Amino acid sequence: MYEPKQHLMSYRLDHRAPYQYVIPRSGAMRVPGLVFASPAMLSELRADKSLDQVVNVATLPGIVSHSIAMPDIHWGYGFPIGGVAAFDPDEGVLSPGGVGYDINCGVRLLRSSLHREEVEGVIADLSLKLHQAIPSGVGSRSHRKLTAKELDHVLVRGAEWAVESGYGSREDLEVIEEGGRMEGADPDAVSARAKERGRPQLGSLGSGNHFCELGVVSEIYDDEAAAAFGLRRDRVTLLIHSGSRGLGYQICDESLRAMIRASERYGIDLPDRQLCAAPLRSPEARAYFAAMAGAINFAFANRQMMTHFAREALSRFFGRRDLGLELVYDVCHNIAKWETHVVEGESRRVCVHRKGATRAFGPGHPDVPARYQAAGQPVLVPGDMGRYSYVLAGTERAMELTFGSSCHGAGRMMSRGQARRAARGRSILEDLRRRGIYVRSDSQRTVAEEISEAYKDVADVVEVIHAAGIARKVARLSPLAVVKG
Amino acid sequence: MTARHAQPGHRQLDHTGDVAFELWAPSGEELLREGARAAAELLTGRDGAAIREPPAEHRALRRTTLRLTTLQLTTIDWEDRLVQWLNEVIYLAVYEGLLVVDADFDSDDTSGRGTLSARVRVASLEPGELLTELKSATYHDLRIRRDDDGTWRARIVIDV
Repeated sequence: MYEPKQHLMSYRLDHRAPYQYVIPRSGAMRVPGLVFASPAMLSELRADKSLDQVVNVATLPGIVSHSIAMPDIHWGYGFPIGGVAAFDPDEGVLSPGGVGYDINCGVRLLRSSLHREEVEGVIADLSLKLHQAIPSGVGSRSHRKLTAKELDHVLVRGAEWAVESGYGSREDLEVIEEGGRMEGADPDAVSARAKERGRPQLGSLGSGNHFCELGVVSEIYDDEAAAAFGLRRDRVTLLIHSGSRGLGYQICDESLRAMIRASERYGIDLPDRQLCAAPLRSPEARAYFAAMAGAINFAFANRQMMTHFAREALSRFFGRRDLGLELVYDVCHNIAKWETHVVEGESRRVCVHRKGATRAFGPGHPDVPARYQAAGQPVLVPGDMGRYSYVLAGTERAMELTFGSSCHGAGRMMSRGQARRAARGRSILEDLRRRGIYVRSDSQRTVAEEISEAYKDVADVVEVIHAAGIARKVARLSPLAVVKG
Repeated sequence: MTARHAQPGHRQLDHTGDVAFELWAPSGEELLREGARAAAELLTGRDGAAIREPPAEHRALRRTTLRLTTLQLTTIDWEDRLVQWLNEVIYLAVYEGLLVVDADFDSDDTSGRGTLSARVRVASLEPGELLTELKSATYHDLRIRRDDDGTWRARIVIDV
């Protein structure tokens, strides 16, 4: 019978620099842990098991430098949510649990030329139109059911397929991580059941914390970077948060099963089975990578299709097409990728796992789009539906400390059950409406589970990121209309 | 060893990121059945008893035809068995619109390693009955314990 390791002691946390804490190596840890947090966040972290998870990840073979936790870290399963870990190509491993079930869950931001005043009186109606345009909710299905052949194209070509099929423009592709197409995908590595789950769902939001949000730029912190990102105060924006739907969940589930067996075969000692992994060079890791890359592409195409639906809905609503609804950027926050980083003065190719963490490449990095070379890569950090979201820019410091990574959101503070209890007897939607925010959802339960208090204040998370220098604040967005899954 | 008097049961635990359950039952097969009840409760918001014996107000469920389906799982131990089984329960509900109401199991090995066959009684879910789209049962910190009286106990995290 399998025995997960129980950590009963509390960890030593050494204060290394402002908002940086190191968990020194001990026991089976191969590298130290590195936690970005405020002192207040730390005391909360000690109350749950997320630090155990940081320590568990540090025991995996071939991990390089540190097992890293972002300030939005919270207790998940396997890798912590808000975790970053890089692995050496020869000694290291690939772990489906280090990516998560929703492969390439991510966020994209569109700007527009619409002024706040043009939408303020019509938000109720506009939110309804958006809700109708974007399939959302439990078991949501797309407007288009793909043929088996089309799905194979999606798995290989991602957002490129979507653009060629009439969803958006080629310019969109320039501002998507990986250009909207992850190399290395193989449709034959994706099971029949995963394809069956994905086929009717491409172009749908899903449920839970996924959303499509119309907002407005409410604050600018960095004029130059904001200008580079095309963000102007009081202009309307659109955020879309979704992933690879059932296709990704199925791939993760099947890969975990294969990797648990592979871990036994390769003699990898697992403190938690959800961390199961296989050597990066093994056939098992290659098979997972090829399937994962397919799911990454599926998610890119998914967000690209919903972008098109939203653009069409807004154009119809305003009766004109010149709304300037241009893509600012699209980031992934559940992903594993090959990247080159300087580790202890040496340039090394490593496989970076980001689970609930966003790539945050600094100015001048070749993978940052030409137009953002001076500013750094846009980093999109959505908050809860009642407060605000942030646009940050990647930094050189992130390249040095975190394999070019930053936070991905607010991070849950309450369980879903606690949130429902806290919401009981309150008219959540009415309260939000009074504050000018129209939330549309097919599910009252989702609305209750997603109340603002269920999340950390994303401003606190962003302050830590900004002060630690692993991304810098560019702009704040405030919600006007939110379509929830 | 079998705990002949222990009744199967479950309770939901608070878990920040996801949903966790504690399950207990007098045998491994009963534990799987109880897991399905817990999952069905999460999926539909109804309690286990209402799912098995629907009261009058659940007319929708009364109208549905119950039918049998079979499935086979190849597992390495009981933990793996519980995860794979629950993922089948979730798949049937979210993708086939079928709620598992009961199951009989047949296994070639009591250690949990090997093949498990299940004959599953399912009921059609009515539109709107499915309250949530669960992603998957996880292996996170999962360990099935046997108490001194033979009760099987598991704590399982579901990604929602």
